[in-house]
Amino acid sequence: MLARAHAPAQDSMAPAAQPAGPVAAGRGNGFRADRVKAMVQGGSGEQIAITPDLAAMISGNEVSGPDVPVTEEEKGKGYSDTQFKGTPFVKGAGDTNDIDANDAVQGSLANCYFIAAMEAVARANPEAIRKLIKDNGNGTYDVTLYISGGGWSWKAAPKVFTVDDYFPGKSSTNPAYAKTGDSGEKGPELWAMLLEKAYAKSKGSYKDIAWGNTGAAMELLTGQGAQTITPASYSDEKLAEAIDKAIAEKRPVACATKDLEKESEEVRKLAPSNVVGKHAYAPISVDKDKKTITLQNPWGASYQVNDLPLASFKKLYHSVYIGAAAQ
Amino acid sequence: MSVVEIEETTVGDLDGVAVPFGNAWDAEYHAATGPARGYSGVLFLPGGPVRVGAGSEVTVAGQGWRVLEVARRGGHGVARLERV
Repeated sequence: MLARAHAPAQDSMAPAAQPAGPVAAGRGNGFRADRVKAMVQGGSGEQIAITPDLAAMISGNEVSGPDVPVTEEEKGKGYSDTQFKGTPFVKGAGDTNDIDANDAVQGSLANCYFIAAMEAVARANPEAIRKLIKDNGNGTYDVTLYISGGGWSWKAAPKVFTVDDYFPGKSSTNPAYAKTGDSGEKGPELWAMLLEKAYAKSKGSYKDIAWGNTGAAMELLTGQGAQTITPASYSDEKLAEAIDKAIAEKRPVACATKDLEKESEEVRKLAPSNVVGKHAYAPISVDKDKKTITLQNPWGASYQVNDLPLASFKKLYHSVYIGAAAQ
Repeated sequence: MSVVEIEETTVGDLDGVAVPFGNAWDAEYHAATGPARGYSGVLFLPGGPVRVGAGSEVTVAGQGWRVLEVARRGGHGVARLERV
């Protein structure tokens, strides 16, 4: 069944021109895109499954060209273009799926909003993450993100960013930003790093994706807008019910804290040490009887927030973002 | 690099050890010379969270680090640490 590609007719979101990096990354997908267009427009009779990257190809929304080389500022911090030979997905010990929420861990970039969104989507619908990444088998990956704005459609449109396996880092085991996930026979798990790099490519650099909105990041990953709710406007019971229902329905759920510098000492005291202001988290579960919530912290498993009373949550967190269920 | 910067809410790297930096604001903290007050933030060291500001010294995996400053940049706190 051939589906209509909801995508703007022109590429209005191309990243800013950048100097070529040390690694040639402009594979150029013209031949493949032309062939697909011919099949679609020429009525060849072949049936094609429209995956996100195929939809992007048909609409012309592929972005190849220069990759995301380290900037002078990053070099000043000791980072260089570092190759991470790995594979997108690895099932680690204890994982129920090769794509696990714990695979995404934040590094030295203020993009907790994006990391938390990746965790939330991975927890709710791992297959949504899998569909975003295609291993080209030559050290490059086609990564699909849903980009809003521009064009005739209000809906976020799939756009494919080709990225290689070089990332800013200090060593091949120590990437600067999103960390590697599990390790397997083919090397470390890269999906979180690849999604982060594709997003950086869409904006021009890693620095350009620092600080942002978690709901918008969910849309980047799923193509579906997120509902935003204000915890303080809910009773403890209703809030527990809303989050628990969303998790049960396999909807991605994330949340963000207030700027605690601007809050009273009374509010700050409600925060355990691992709840920091201006930070995003991904809810894992809600205990409706105890009225508590357990949250994944993008910093890593050892910073998980356990059993935070919802009464405190409502004073510390300004928003909960609930994405769409898997389609 | 002898000087490392860690921005608020991110995870820094001190010689391969992941060290998150929490929020910064004006508060009391411990400098190497004794109690101090000023713009300071929380470093999440392997041994637990510690509020640091200019003049604080911490040890991470046997390596000493001196906090040169905790400053506000672009609306967010940044800690600058130098290997001792």
